[in-house]
Amino acid sequence: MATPITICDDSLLSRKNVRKALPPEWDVNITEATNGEEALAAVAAGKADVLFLDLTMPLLDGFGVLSYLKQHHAKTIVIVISADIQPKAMELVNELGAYRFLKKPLNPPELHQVLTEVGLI
Amino acid sequence: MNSSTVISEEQRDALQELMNISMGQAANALARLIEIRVTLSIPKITVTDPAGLEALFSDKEKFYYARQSFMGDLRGEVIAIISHMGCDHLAEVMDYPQPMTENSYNELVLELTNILAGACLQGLVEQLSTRVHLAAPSLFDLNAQHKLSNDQWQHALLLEISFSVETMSFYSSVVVCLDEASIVAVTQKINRLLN
Repeated sequence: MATPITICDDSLLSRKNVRKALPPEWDVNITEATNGEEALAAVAAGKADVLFLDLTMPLLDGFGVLSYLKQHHAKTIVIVISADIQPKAMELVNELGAYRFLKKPLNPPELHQVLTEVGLI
Repeated sequence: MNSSTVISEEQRDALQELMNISMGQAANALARLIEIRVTLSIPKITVTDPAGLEALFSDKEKFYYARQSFMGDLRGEVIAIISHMGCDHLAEVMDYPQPMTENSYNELVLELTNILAGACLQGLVEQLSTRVHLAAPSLFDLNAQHKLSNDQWQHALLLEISFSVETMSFYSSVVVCLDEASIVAVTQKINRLLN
């Protein structure tokens, strides 16, 4: 069965880059979200077993999404993909329960490796 | 003229994302220097004319301004706007001898300009696979000899980003201005990225 995944980023270019970087053999059902609120709606609708999450976004940012998911003990696997590469941002993301942190610009082999490590492919 | 007549919504989105990545690199450079987390904002992309550009630099009471010009595949200026109060706080964190003299303020502003403006521009240029030569930063005073308006600046594309540090009242923004020929070059590169 296809895995429901959500790509959450306010940038169209960035969402395209994540789509393009996904391994072609991975059977997925993709939902796109343009801010944190849409991402949480996708989670609630069961469309995000895996969530690729940007940090700097309007309305509700990635940290807000992570905090919410943590508080509600969500089972969503979150992989953060962000331009905010400061050590403190990475620490915070880890504390908030993200599985992995990937730097932008996204490097497809790195993404594949993370998906393998987490056991998704 | 508004921005939609020069760049499409898709191009604006792409530029915003490239700037977001560039500012992330610049913020990381600053954060490592001061060991405090820097907050990023969403970049603002607009098209302006010389008057609009000058209006950005009119508050000498509150801000220092410094510029770095660049040429090569792209031509323009990258300008750093740094709050006076922010400089006072950073000077302490960065162990500048106190009390600060005018010279040490100048040195600090130029150093921050190199870190923030320089890194932002380099990030953008690399992602567009272009090359530019970046001049040394200089302090920028809006008097006759530093006029921004000339024939090259009928429209400039402004790529604005802001940095703030939550634990101190530091605020800085970086503005990249591109001349018209460079706007064309950038949009062509972006079209390639979008395809």
